[in-house]
Formats: sequence, structure tokens, C-alpha cells
Amino acid sequence: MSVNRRQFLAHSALAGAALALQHGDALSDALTRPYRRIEDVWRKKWTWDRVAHGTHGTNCAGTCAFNVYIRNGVVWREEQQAEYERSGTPDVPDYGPRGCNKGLRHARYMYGKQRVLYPMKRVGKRGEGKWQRISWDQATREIAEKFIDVAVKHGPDSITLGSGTQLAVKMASYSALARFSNITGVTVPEFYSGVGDLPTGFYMTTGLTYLGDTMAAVYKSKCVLVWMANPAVTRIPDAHFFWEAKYNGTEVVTISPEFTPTAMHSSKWLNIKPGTDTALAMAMVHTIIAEKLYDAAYIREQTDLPFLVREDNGEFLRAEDLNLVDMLAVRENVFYLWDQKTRRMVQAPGTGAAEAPVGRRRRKFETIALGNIEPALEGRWNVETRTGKVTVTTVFALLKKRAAEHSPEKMSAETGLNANAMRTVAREFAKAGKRAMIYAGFSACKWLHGDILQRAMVLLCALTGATGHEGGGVQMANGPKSRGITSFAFAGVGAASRVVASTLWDYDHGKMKQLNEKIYGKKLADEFDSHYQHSLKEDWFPQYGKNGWKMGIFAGENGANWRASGNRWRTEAFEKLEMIVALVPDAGITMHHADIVLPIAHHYERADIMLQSRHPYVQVLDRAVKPLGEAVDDFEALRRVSAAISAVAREKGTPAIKDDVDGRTFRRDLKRTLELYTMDGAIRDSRDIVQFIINATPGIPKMSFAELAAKGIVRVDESRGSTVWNSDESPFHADIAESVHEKRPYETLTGRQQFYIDHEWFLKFDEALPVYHPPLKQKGYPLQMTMGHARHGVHSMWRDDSFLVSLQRGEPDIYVNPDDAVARNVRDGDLIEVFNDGGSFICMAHLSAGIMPGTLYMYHGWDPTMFRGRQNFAAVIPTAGLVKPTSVAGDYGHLGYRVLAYAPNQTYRDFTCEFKLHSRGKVTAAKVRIA
Amino acid sequence: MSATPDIDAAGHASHESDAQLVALARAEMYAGLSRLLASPEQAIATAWRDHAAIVERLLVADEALSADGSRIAELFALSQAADIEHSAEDVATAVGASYGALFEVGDRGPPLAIREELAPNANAAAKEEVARFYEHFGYRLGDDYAWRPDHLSVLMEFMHFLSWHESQSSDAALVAGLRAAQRDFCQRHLAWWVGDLADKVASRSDAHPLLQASLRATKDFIAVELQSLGD
Repeated sequence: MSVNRRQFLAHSALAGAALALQHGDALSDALTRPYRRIEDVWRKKWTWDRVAHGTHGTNCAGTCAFNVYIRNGVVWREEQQAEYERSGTPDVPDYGPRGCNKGLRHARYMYGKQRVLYPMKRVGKRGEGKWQRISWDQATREIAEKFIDVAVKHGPDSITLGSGTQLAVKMASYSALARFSNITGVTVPEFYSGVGDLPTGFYMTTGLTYLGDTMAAVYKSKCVLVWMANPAVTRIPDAHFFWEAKYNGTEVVTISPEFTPTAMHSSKWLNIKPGTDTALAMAMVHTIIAEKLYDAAYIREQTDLPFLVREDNGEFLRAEDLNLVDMLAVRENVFYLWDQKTRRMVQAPGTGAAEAPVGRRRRKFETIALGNIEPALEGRWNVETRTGKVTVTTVFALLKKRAAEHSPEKMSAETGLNANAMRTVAREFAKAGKRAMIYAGFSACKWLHGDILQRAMVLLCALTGATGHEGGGVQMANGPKSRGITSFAFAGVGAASRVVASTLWDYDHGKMKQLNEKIYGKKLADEFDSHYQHSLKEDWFPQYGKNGWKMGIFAGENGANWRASGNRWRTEAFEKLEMIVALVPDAGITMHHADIVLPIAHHYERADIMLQSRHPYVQVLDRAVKPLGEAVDDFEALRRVSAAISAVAREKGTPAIKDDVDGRTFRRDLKRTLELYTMDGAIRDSRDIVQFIINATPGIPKMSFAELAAKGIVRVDESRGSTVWNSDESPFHADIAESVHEKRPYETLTGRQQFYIDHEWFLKFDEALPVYHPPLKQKGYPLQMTMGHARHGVHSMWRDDSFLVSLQRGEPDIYVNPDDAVARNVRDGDLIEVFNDGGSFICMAHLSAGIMPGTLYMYHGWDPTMFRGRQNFAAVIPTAGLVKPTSVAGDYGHLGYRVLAYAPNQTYRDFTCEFKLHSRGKVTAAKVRIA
Repeated sequence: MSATPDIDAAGHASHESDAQLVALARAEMYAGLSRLLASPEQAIATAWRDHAAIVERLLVADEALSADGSRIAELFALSQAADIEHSAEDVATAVGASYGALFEVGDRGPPLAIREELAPNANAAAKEEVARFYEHFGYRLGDDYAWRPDHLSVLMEFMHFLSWHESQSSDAALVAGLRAAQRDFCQRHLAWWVGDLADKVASRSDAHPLLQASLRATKDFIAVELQSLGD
């Protein structure tokens, strides 16, 4: 390059130019390494500044230990930590290594385009997509001003703080949210029933929601029914236990309409029609009873099956029936057996404790051991009551009749299964005895009558005597004792929070009765609504937010994605909010509609712990790198919001709010929000909360956060040489094992595994005993659509990852049976419109012979923003108003609202739909001509 | 390494050849454009408050490299006009808002990628490779940018780092290595996507004219650089 005079002058002007670095520095060894070609820069690829321990705080519940490799402030890759041992006897396979495709992708995903990195404010219309980057100060101040305004005018219960499963599994983060809500009085619509995961049927039967041991227990079973679950896809780190068990002689039977990856590896596959699972369960009950394959000693002691029931009214025989004294004492929790030895009626041991019908006290001091009593399982007897002679029989006798209504032959037409196939599986299951296991997925909760299926599942395991034994019983999920979380949330302020079932909140605020009328007819809508209103009137369930829903803060969830009847919820409730705040690490439909968005740290950018019952380890999330952009973790985000609320309240001189929660009055002084939230500054960051939880939670070895972070995983206080959670010292619930082995009463009205519920509503709907009710269908729409968790995402997390999407069809797809496709002129790869009276959405047809004719199947989690017109599957799921009457029953021992235990699930399955060709696919993965 | 030029007390080098002067001018171009392309969270607010001075210096550098300084002419004119019509603070605020809306916030991420890794059809290893470049040459990012070594402003600053060192050296082997690195880096991490980005920014009505002009100048400069480094 030659230089002219003008350039020379320019050069002269530049002559003093110095190295001007604004983003970085020159190291002392700068330019010391020669450069010849590109390969030279890669020579130090495998060197790190630090290897942190972490995992992915999502609700796959895998809590897989990962090493996270950091160089120059960037996470470059992760790898499984693989240091797990085994539980139980030496033959049991170990837990490691744990991990899956999603976790191994996270080092890339966390830097992805979808990351929310800065506080944002909506500047266009809601959903228009126009945003302005704002400062944290501006964001929190605007939130605080609205928060105070709404709290003062309408009450803090008209503000919600949504918590999703993604947040709930991270103990420190969830504790932060729980503390904030407890201090401020905002309503927390809980996620468990909200996403249709609450196992109410298990609760009705056992008084527990947490039925489950370690995953290694699967190896100990002799026959495991994988029911409404697809562990090969959804439990990638644990699926090996099923296949190892199979090679060890265990019969692995998958019950699923779809030929899932789990089904294809199983010993047997029962391709049941969707929603008819209770018919199969009861057909199996029939077989086991008819062929006397049951464990009589077990059911006599552990269940209510020998309890006496009045034939005249279908109710249990109670002490209050017998004499005036007991009636006046409301001794409704004293039940009776017929002792075959003495030939007389006797009080059932463990019933009738005066302290409370349900509760710890009875559990602690009473026993269900029968002693010398030998209860009859069948028979009819006349009993003198205070109103005269009545005939009584046993629950077992009634069950036998009920089972006869569900013989395999009768249920064959319902289930689509061969009667002998059902009978064969029932026999194999019964033969396994105490090692008969049902590995149950959460999908049962998503059917309107899934509670009955769950009751039938527990019944099957009771009949074989399996519940409470290693390798047996229903396995769904155990949960950590929440003592650390609740202690943190309530410390210094007491329990002053509002947790509401999301289903009921949405029902109230989304005008779901109208939806029921439109979809399911006026009769159902009126019937469901009248029972719900009755429940509220009787105070069986609380009604929060009576003054309306004005402001929504969404943390750790993508609430506008997963809701059934999503369209209706968005238009009738969500978009009517005066302010929507989203605390999110990644973009999605909830953020899309928000007014203010706060950026939240991702998995490798936060300090936390996780505890899941699938393995006996507590898992750390150590902060591998500083949160990207201006993101902060949930504790810090709420701390900043708290600080702003305090500051604005002080500026405005906001008086304390008198707040009535369930009949107790609290004084909410918003000026003190920050000091209460941080315990006067004692809690500085999430590490402090983790330490609090470690110290307060039983079963977690006491150590510092730093020690835990250095190890990654630490074994928790163990079960006693078993794969079962059977020790009160462990961090998980061991109640079932205690009831079975130590004869402690269950926390049910009867103190037993309770299969008979004589609440008037259960009798009215013929649900006192498990019964098959067919799923709801919509006239004119022949196809039953179901969904399941995906291999390539955990709920909406990672669903939009470009690499994971590339391993699928590149966009949301739905599985269609080829015959159904041909009948509608649809080919593989075409875009189809799925529709019903609820709405419609468009996605790619994925033809598969593994899908039963007359059904559609879609892996869930795809965000609406990934669909044309931003309508995802929720557009056709019209079930959000299905508040099943018996799910809001109360005033009956253990039945009545109980947070995270007894509440109506949001259902997702009781609907049908149709599809038609939308447009020919441009890219067809496999154009198969199906004859 | 050896043969660095004489450095005076202020850290300024004395230059021995036209090539070194050209390298210095190039380094100035990279430095100035890097400042204008940085995120508002830190540098841009300052940069756009000082836009008149930065752009003037860019013009000088461009004139040192080209016959007419045309690559910076548009940016210079806009900067001058803005300087007359608006306060520096207003300019910084307006450009910052536009920058944020284009590159930092949005529905499913920002509308346009200012980080190479997120550019359409980016090489999966792009970010890691630029970080390896930095490490190889002893250029270390501070906390604010460590997580995004592929940010356009950082990529430009690294080119500034290399070209400035080139301008300071009379060691032929070192200079050859530095130029080879600049060529590879420019080819692999700038040239393939910056033009497309500039065109997209130009087509958006919500893009501030000064940002549009800055990207256009970057695009033109990189195109020439690619050619001259390839020689």
C-alpha cells in the first residue's frame, strides 16, 4: 500500500495512537506464542481454570451430577460426574453415571439466542414483541409501585406469585419464593395440581402423596407394570434399572396406547385404549380376587377391606351408629371388624384416637396390629344400632361385587385388550407377591378420573401384599421432607402464606364454567360448579383472590405454555392482568405477554441444592460462572423487588395492611419487606439459604456449602441397607414402610390403606370403591389425543434448542397413525391442523405405526411461540374447567383442602379432536406409502 | 518475541515504515468501530457521548488508508449533524435504545445477532475458536465480556489488538504471524457474517441511522481488510 501526502498527514495524526482496549487486557505473556495456522490456537483446548460441580435444576427429577468445565469465564462443556454407588444388596446396579442429551447440551444452550439477559419493558401492545431494555432500578421500581398500589387497593391476595416445577426442585430458590410470598401475602397458585401431577388417588388411599423408593427398587421387583410412564424417554439416567431387572428375570410390562421406546424393550406391551386404564386395573383386581391370589393376611391388617359397612346406606359402621354417647362425641372415626375367632364385632385397632381423626399423634401412639383378632373378609351380619338392627358386610365383599362388574371379558371391549392377556398379566403380577410393582407415571393425574385409577393401582399392590416392601408397591415419586424450606419461609414471621390450587384459581378467574358448558354441556357444567361452590361455602376449600386477580408475577415457570385451555386462560385471565412480571432465564410465551421481564440466572450460574428420591444423594448447584448479562438468581431478583417495595412504601408512607388469611389476621408492613425477606440482612445470597436448609433438613449430612460444592454429590442418611426409603432419619418420606413394618396407622380416616370412601359425594358418584368411568369425549371429534414428556426437553426447557430440535423434525410434530393419515389425505411431513370446539393448532404430521388408530400423540413442552399463529396443543385441550366434584370434597378425615396433597388436578386428557391437511410438507422425512 | 519498536514515556511508538503506519491506521479503525459497536451497558453510553471525537478519529484513520475516506464519510456526516442538533446525552440514549432493541432484547431473543455464535449458519465452534485466539495471543477479556467473546465489538477489538501490535513491531516473523492471524480471524469470524448483519440493520426502520452507518462502515472496512490481509 502506497502512502500519499494526505495519508501521510493522517498517519502523522495517528502516530500517537496507543493500544486501546475497552473489553480486555493484554496479558504479560501476550504474543509469546507463534502463529502459523489456525490449529495453533486449539492446542490448549483441554485445559481449564476450574471444574465446578453442578446439575440442571429442572423437574426431570434426575439431579444428575455433572462436572462443569470453565475457562476464561466461559462454560465450555460438561461431563457426567459418575461417582455414584449403589443401594441395598451388592447385586443391585449402581446409579451412575447419570445424565442425558439435554444436560449435555446445556453448556451451549445457556449462551443461546433465547436467553433473557437484561431487564426489559414492553413498549408495544402485549404480545406484539416490542421491548425496551431498562435498568434493574427502573424495573423493580415500576414493579414495586404497582405491587403496593394493588396490595393496598385490593389486598395482597389479588397478586399472584407463580411458581413452577423448575423453581420448586431447587430448594434454595423455592425457599426464597416461599419466604417472599409468606411475607407479602401474595397468592401462590401451586404447580403440583396446576400441571396435573398431584396424585390425589394415592392420597385418598394412603394419606400420602409421596409413594416411591429409589429407582434401584425397580431391580428388586419380580413383576413391574410400567403404567402411564415412558422411562426410556423421560428417565434416561434411570431406565437401565428396568432393563437390568428384565435380564435378571423380572417381568417388565408396559401399559400404553403407544408403542413407546419403553414398550419396545419390555417383556410385554399392553396396547390399551387411552383413558381405559381403570378398566384394566379392575379386571386385574377381579382376576386376583376370583382366583384367590391375594395376600389375605396383608389386607386384613393394612387395609380397610375387612371393615364393616352398613348395607342400608353404604356407609362404614361407626361408633356413633351404635350408641348415643358416641354419637354426641362425634366418634366418626371408630370403625369395626368382624372377628372370626370370637364371632363378634370388634373395634378396628388404631381407629378412634380421640386427638384427631388424622394426624401425627395417632400415628405415633396407636397401632394397627391385629393382635389376636382375625378379621373376616367376607360375610353378612346383623348389628344392633341405636336406630335398630342393620345388616353389615365388609368392604372386601363389596369390592368383590364391584370387581365382578369389571371382569376381563367385560372390560375387553373398553380397553381393546384381549381378556386372557389381562388375566395373564394379573396372574403374573399376583405371583410376584410382595415384589409386585407398579411404576406409575404422572399422566394418570391428568385424566378426570385418574384418581380412581390411582386408587386401583394401590389396591392391586395391596392385594398382592406388595406395598411397603422392597421391590413392590406403587412407585411414582417420593419427596423430600420440606422442613428446611418451610422453616426458612416462615422464620421470624410465622406461617402466613396463601397457597391455592392453580386449577381452582384458573377456574375462578378464567370463567371456566362457561367453557365447560360449551365443550361438555350445561348438565356437566352445572353439576361440577354446584359441587365446587358447595365446597367453598362449607370452607372445605379456601377461596383466595375474591377481589379479583390484578397482578401476576411468574417465576420458575412458563405458565402461559402448559395450561390446559391455554387460549381461554390467556384471554380471560392472563391478559386482563394490570401488570404481568416474568422472571425467566429464557424467552417463551409467558415472557412474551409480560409487561416487565427480569433476567434470571441459568443452571450453572447459581448456587443451590437439589434432593430427589430417585437416588440417595444430595446434589449441589455450584455457581460455575457469573450470571450472563444482567441476570441474577431468584433470591437476588426477589431481594431487589423487596428492596424496591420497601423503598417505595417508605416514600409513600404506605400504612401496614391488615390481611386475613384463613381466619387469622396478619399485619403486612410493606416498608419492612426487605428486612423480613433477608432476615435483617442475615441472608445475603442463595448460599446462605442452602446452608439454612442443610442445617434444618433431616437426613442431609451437616456440612458447609463449600464442602458440598467441592464434592458435588453427597450421600444422604440412608435407608437401612435397602432400596426403599424406610427410615424416619432419611430426608424422604418413609411413612408407608413404617405403617407396613411398624404397624403405625396411615394418615387416612380409617388409619388404613383406605379403598372405601363413604363420603356422600363418593357414594353419589358411585366412587366409594374404584370403578371404571370412561373418559370424556366430544361429539363429532373421533380422535383421542394424548401427550407425554419428551426425550429432547424437560417441559419447555431446551425445547427450542437448535441442536435438539435438529434431532427431531425441526419443528413441533404430532404422531399420527398411518391409516388415520391416509383417510385424511395426509402424508408424513405434511402440516396438519388439529382442531375441535376448543380451538386449533398447526403442526407437522409424523406418521408412525406405533400410534394406535383413532389416537394422536404429541410430546409436550413445545412453546406456543414455536407454532404458527402462536397456538400450541393447549388450543385444543378444553379441560381446564373439569373440577371433579369428589376432588373438592371435604369434612371427611383426610379429605379436604391440603396443600400439595389434596386438590383438583388440572386435567389434560378428557377430550377428542380431529385433524385435516393444512398444507403439503416441503421436507418429508420419510414418504412411506401406507397401504 | 522481539523487535518491538521504541516506546516513549507515554507508551507511544515511533514508526519506521509505511506498513507500520498502515497497521496503526487499521488498528485505529478497529478500535473506533469496536467502541461504537459495544453494548450500551457500559461502553456505548460513553462512546456515543463522544461520538464526534471517535468518528473524527475514524475519519482520519480511514483517510490514512484510502484515497478519499469514503467508508467513514456517511458516518461522519451523520455524526456531525447529530452533534449539532442533539446533546451528546440524547444521542447516546437514542442509540442505546435502538441498540438494545436490535441486539439485546426481544421475543425469542433479540431480532438480530451481534454475537457471531448466534448469527445464522454460524459454525458451532465459532465462539470457542475466538476464545482460543484470545488465549493464544494473550488477550484476556474482563468479566462483562468474558461470556461473549464472540461479540462483534470484541472481535473488532481483538483485531485492533493484533493490528496495533503489528504496527509496533519490526520483527518480520512476528509481523507475519500477526498478519496470518488477522487474516484467519477476519475470514473465519468477521467477514462471513458482518456484511449480512449490516444489511439487516440497514433495512430496519427501528435502527438508529448512526448504528446503521456504523455497521455499514464496519462492513466496508472488513471487506477491504479481507482483501488486503489475503494479499
